[in-house]
Amino acid sequence: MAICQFFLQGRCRFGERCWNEHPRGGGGGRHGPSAPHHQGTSRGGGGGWGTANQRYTNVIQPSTFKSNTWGGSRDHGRGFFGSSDFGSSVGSSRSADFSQNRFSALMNSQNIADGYKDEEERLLECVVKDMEIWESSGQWIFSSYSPMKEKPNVSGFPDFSPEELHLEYYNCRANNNIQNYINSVQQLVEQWKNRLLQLKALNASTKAALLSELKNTVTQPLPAFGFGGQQTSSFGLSSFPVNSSSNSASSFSFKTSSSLVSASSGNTPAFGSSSAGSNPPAFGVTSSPSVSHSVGFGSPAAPSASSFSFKTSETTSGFGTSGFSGFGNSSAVNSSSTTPLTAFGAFNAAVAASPSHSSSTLFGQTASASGHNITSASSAVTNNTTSEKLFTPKSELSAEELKQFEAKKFTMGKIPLKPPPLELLNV
Amino acid sequence: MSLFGSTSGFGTGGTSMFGSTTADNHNPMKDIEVTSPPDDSISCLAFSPPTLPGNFLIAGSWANDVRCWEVQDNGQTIPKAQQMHTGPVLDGCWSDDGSKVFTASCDKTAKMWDLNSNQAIQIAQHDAPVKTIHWIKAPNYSCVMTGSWDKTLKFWDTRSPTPMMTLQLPERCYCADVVHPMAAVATAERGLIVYQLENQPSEFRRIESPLKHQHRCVAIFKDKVNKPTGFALGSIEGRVAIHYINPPNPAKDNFTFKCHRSNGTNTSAPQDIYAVS
Repeated sequence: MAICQFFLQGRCRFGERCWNEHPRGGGGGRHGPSAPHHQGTSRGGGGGWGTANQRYTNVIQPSTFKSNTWGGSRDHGRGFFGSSDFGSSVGSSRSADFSQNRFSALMNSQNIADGYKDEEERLLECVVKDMEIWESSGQWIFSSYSPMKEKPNVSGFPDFSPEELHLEYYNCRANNNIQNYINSVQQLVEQWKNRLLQLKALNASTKAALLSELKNTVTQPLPAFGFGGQQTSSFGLSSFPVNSSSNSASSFSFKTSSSLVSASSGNTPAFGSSSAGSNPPAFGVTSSPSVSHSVGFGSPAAPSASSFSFKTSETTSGFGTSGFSGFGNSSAVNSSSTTPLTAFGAFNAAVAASPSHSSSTLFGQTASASGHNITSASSAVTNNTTSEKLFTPKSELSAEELKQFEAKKFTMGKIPLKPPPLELLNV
Repeated sequence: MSLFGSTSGFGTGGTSMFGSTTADNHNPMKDIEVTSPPDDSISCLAFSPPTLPGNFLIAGSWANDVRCWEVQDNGQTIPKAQQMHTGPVLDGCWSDDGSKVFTASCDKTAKMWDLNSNQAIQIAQHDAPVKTIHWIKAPNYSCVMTGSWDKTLKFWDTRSPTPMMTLQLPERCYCADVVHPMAAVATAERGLIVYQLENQPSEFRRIESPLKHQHRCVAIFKDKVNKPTGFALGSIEGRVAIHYINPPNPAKDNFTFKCHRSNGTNTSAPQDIYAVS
């Protein structure tokens, strides 16, 4: 079902009659238990409202979103209540959070906090979809990525152009180091794949990290990856002890196949291997020692040509996840620096607790002391930014607004336009 | 510079299927093949500017050389000359009078090739491979602009070993285009900067990338009065964004589209997008 663009802008003329899907956004799943009961009434109510005021169309459907009762109506092709399965698991997890929410009465009230939820959900959906496309298409994998145009890049996807890889291969070939190149590429591919799967699966901590990243206007410096001294991101660059010529991108480890060498038509880099021993880039905040052990990736000699059409499914079979463990934590660690800011009341506590504890150990492992500095710096920076965006301090609310927030339900016509104060959120 | 097609707009006859492949479906379009093509992948192509009588084509390749052919009106090509670098050549361009060819290479240098004397001298030095090179002809100055993976953009007077100006880029330069007085540079990590070249080059604006993935190539287009007004930016996923610098209607005028769609998911290889320049 296509998502209705006008609805997303808040101005769908058809309201419930619209043939496109009106995603529920953060409004999904409130009043779960009363779902079946409201089914009948809400339709009628929806009809009445639909004509009157398009914006509030969805308002009348409390409940229902958690359930699959609406699955049927969606299939009628009129998915106006269709948001129950709205994309990913994100929707349902959110419904759990908000079932006790005091904003229960009004689904898509124009509350700004809700607006945030919608946008976040859309972003996450977008990320998931993009990951799927990226994985299945044969397009270039070593690319940065961002879900929407103004957003900063999602971490964990460093940019390498085909020419850089091509050059790397040529250098290695000249040095007779093809195997190293192969290894490096393999590793990079593996890391890409892992990050991609992480983003596709989107469990709680990844989500929190991702969202805080996306909201964060300070783009985190990117991990200094294989190419020697080319990238000056401070994240772990110092952990590159072995790179001989820091200029030539010689610290790769790329996978390739000898068969690819011949297929060099056009600009397809025929990847060879790379200089060895390169400590695989301290990827993000992963500890480089742990990653380097994963060099023994299964079958480096297995030159599946397909790896270079970038359908990496075959190639990842033998690969362990040893390099990955640090990775999983890394995103959590990232989020720890920006913890207070995520909108997820529930997630906040969970995410904040664990990583802050593990962060010391993780960084202890990374050879780069710079890792420490960065997170503290970024946390200092980010601490200031988003705290105002999502919650209004109580002092800024007028008495009327405060009363509204404190009431069990909003009164129509008196809904505050500012986000609620942190203190009143009940999570 | 035309948006689609060769860089100097002179595409008479002489297009060719390049590359050193011996694939079977070689040349399905029956294009005219260039005689004695380079031995390795071609990285750049440029036709000579209209100020030069006759049409000449230069091509830089990963075999460390740049070759020049004369292209006749019937499409036949005659190899004329070649110059070598010590590393693969990544980009090349002509000077405005057609007497010189500038080449940028992975050996971190750029050279100026005087075709009349068939001599090439080094005119630029970077700390990393030079990815793009363009000739800038302004009313009060002319120079060569080189963009490199060392994250700098340098402007060179060909007579001097030090750059006239160096500008820092946020990341490695991946592609650039120049249509006086505007220059657009796209970098790694989705960076995009526009420069203005009047008087002296200066950064005009940094733009948020309208694309989600790595930038692959950029080309400036002109408006009806022949002034550069915007650029097209291609990414590795096959999507191209058209962006106006000062659009009358920003929301409407800037847009993106996918090129080279085939059934199912986008399968555009980077090469296809590379051609959009």
